[in-house]
Amino acid sequence: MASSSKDIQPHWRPNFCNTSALPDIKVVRTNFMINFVCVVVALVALFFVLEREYRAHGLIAEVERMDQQIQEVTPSNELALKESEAFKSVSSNIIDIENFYDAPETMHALIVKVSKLRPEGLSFDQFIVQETLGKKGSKVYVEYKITLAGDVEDPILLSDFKAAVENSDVFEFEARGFKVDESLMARNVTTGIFPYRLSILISPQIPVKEKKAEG
Amino acid sequence: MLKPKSKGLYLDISEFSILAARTSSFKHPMVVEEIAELPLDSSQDADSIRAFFEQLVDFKGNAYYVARAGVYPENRFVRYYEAETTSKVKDPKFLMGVLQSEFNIDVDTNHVSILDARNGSDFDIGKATSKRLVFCGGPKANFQNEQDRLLSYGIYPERLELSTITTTGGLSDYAKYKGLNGPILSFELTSQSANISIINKGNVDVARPVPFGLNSIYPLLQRELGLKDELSARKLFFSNTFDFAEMGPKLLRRMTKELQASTGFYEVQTGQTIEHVFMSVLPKNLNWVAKTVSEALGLQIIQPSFEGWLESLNIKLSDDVEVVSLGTRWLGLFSLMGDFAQREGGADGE
Repeated sequence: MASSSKDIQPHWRPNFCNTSALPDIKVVRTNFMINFVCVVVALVALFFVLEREYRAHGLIAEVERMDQQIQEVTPSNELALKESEAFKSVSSNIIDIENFYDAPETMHALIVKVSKLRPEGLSFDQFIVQETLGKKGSKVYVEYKITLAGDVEDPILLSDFKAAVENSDVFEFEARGFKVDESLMARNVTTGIFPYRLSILISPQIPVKEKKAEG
Repeated sequence: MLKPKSKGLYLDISEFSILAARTSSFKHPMVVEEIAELPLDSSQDADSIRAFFEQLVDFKGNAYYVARAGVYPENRFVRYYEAETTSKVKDPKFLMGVLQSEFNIDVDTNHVSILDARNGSDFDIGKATSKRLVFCGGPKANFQNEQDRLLSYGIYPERLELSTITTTGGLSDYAKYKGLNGPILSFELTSQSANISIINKGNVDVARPVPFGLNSIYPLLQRELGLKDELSARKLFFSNTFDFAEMGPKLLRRMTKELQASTGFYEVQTGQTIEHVFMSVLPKNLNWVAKTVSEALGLQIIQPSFEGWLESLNIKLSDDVEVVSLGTRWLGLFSLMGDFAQREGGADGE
């Protein structure tokens, strides 16, 4: 009967409003969106700050732990360093010694053998043995260069000596051939003798000479 | 970012003026922050009336402001009806028949609300405990006109109440608050019609319309003063330039006879003497009407003291609101704010 009978009215105050004929004044509120975005941004920022703080805290703890570890191991490290240094200095000697013993011929035996080839009138001042690494393609090999220097009274003696060296098997080591080069310097006017130099390169790159048949 | 709470706006809109109050909210406890009155005349358009509201409340750029309004639509009615038994009023067909046959109210074209005459509560047909009822309402078209009129002012009527019955409720509550135990004659006089009711101890004992109003006075005034037409008589009637003290009883004789008929019948029927009269809605410059009626009937005029009454309803007045000098017409506006169920302890049973 009454249009407003659906609601319980305040006493003496029935409502006769025709709500169906009222305009729609519902407003789509957007303020909450601004609030929502602000809250989200704040939360994200807070998250990143907290995450950074947490990571920083973790890193600080890690650094402290590492510092402590460093402090703990510093004495033993210093000791190890000293030992390493000592080892390095000793190991180079060991390497030299190993090389020395690994050489195809011991130096003193070689000197003796070479000396036996020496003609009268030719002297040695220097006997230098150098070990070098050669490379062919990807293959690495060891070469030896023996340099003899001294004086000779007569250049013919040097030629004889060279021939004697070339014909001997003193420098034939483990599938290595050798090549001999001599150089004669100007005669010493005062003494009348010639300084010379004889280089013997022993290398696997030089073909080994064939042995001459006996007799 | 938090949105401030919207202020409440209450309006009592009659043909004479708009009475408005801005409150802290629509919920109790509330504070009446400002009141304003806009006397209406034919020169005002909707924009100027909206401007009046904009001075009172902040529309915040919106087309409408939500308000609770009381209106006086033409052909409104407030009718008291007492059935023989409570069982009879439980039948909706019976009530429809009463409306149709006794009061000539067509339920298809009228908004009708049925209240319990004892306390103004919504009448529940299924649980009817009262045989004393009040039918109130008015033509749907006229309520719609009032609603459309409010919308044209930029007012969105969340509630559209019939001021006649709301004021009756307010007066009933005021009488309880004030301890006025005797019957009170309430008289609402407007241009087209008038409504008479008698309230006793919170109950409505009589409620009936008078089919003529102020418009019936103008031909008489025209004749008495020899004016050229009724329009001139109307203008003079509402102007403050003429003293009606002497002529008043003659002009209002027809009205006072109607009132005397009602009061006399009531007093004979109940054996109680009516001591007070209350007149609503009339503008300030027609105060002489109430004075004339009260003198003619030998009744005391009720001048409500609003402040104490409102405080008893959980409504406070801000320091800027001065109510001491407000006339009786403001009772309708303040009644829109009241929750009268709070004071129902005083309601009589049958």
